[in-house]
Amino acid sequence: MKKIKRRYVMYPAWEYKQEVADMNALSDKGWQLKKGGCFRSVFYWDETARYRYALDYNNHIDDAARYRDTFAEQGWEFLNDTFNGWHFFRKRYDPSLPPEEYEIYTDEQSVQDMASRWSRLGYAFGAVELTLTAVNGLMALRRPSVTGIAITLACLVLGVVILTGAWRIRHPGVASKPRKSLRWCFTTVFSLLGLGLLFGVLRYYQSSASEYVYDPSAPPWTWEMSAPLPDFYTLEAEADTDAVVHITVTDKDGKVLAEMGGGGDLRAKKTLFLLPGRYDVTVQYDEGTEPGASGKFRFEVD
Amino acid sequence: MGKSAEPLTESYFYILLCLYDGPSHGYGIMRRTLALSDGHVHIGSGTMYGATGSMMKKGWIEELPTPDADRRRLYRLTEAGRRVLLDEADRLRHLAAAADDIIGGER
Repeated sequence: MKKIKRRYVMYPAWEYKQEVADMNALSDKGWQLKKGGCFRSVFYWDETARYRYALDYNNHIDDAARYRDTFAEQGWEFLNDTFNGWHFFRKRYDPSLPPEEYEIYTDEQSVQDMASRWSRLGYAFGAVELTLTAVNGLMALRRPSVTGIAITLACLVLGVVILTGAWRIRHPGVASKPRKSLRWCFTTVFSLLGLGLLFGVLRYYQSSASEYVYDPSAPPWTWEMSAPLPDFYTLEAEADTDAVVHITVTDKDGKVLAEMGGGGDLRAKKTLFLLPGRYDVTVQYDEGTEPGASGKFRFEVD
Repeated sequence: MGKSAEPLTESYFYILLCLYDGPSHGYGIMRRTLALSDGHVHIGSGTMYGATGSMMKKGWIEELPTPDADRRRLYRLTEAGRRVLLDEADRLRHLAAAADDIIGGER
């Protein structure tokens, strides 16, 4: 039974040459590609063989049989293709042959054609990501949450990096110094999406709305409220009164975190970021003013 | 379409040239191009597929049927392709003659 190795590495499209170089290096060490993928590649162990690999991006092949036959004529063996248009080929390595034997695009025009096929997709995808950034950003402004902010940042990073990559793949020789890999962006994006998802799930299961109705004739009016997650919370207050009302949120050390209030029939709302813990909400009336008939608070994470 | 709107790339030119005196398959075109260019022009598979596909769409070459067992693709020059090749050769001759007039044999 063949030894199998699964490699979980993502290469940005514009670093496809690095992916080919890494596959070639693995082949020299005895690990031969069995199936290539965008997120996962499978290798088998065969130290008797050496291959050179080629990656082609072509998402619009009008004649698949002619495409593969054209590669086969020059000794390229088709391995597999991916859902998004990448095709993996390999050829037995013969050290006596010149390096051009292992290139599939050999003139500037065809290299540019391949680059523009991907960059068109990249520019479109980048534009979609920036649109999603704007939409999510507006939603996060209207109703702040860790999930909303994390997803907005993930879309922003992904959009900017993909647009940069689409430009890079079209202009491979423009950089004055070696370009840094942008593989870090995947870690950042997945971390942000993971964070967003985690907080989304936690919010869903721990969503709470605490409503307190108080009696204006029985001061002091202080309530303890709990914040189960580090997230944004909304404090809504209503008071049917002509008096001037002050509402304060303090932590257990007495530090004031938020203040709200006003005169007349109070209808106030405040969003604040709280770490997990317990907090005090205190209502006070200006001296000499009459508390109204009733008041209530709603303190929620939803 | 029988006229090239702009100068041909080396790959396009050599593919048409290799088909001038009879049909050939991709590998044959690649080997002959290598020989004709003294090893300077190698036409890789991706370049070959794109160039032959594009020239078939333009009507410069056409694919001939081959026996089922043979996976090699056989191409033939069309009359339109022959015209494009001759025009391009003519253009290159003019360029070379102009260069000779000014530069002569200096390298």
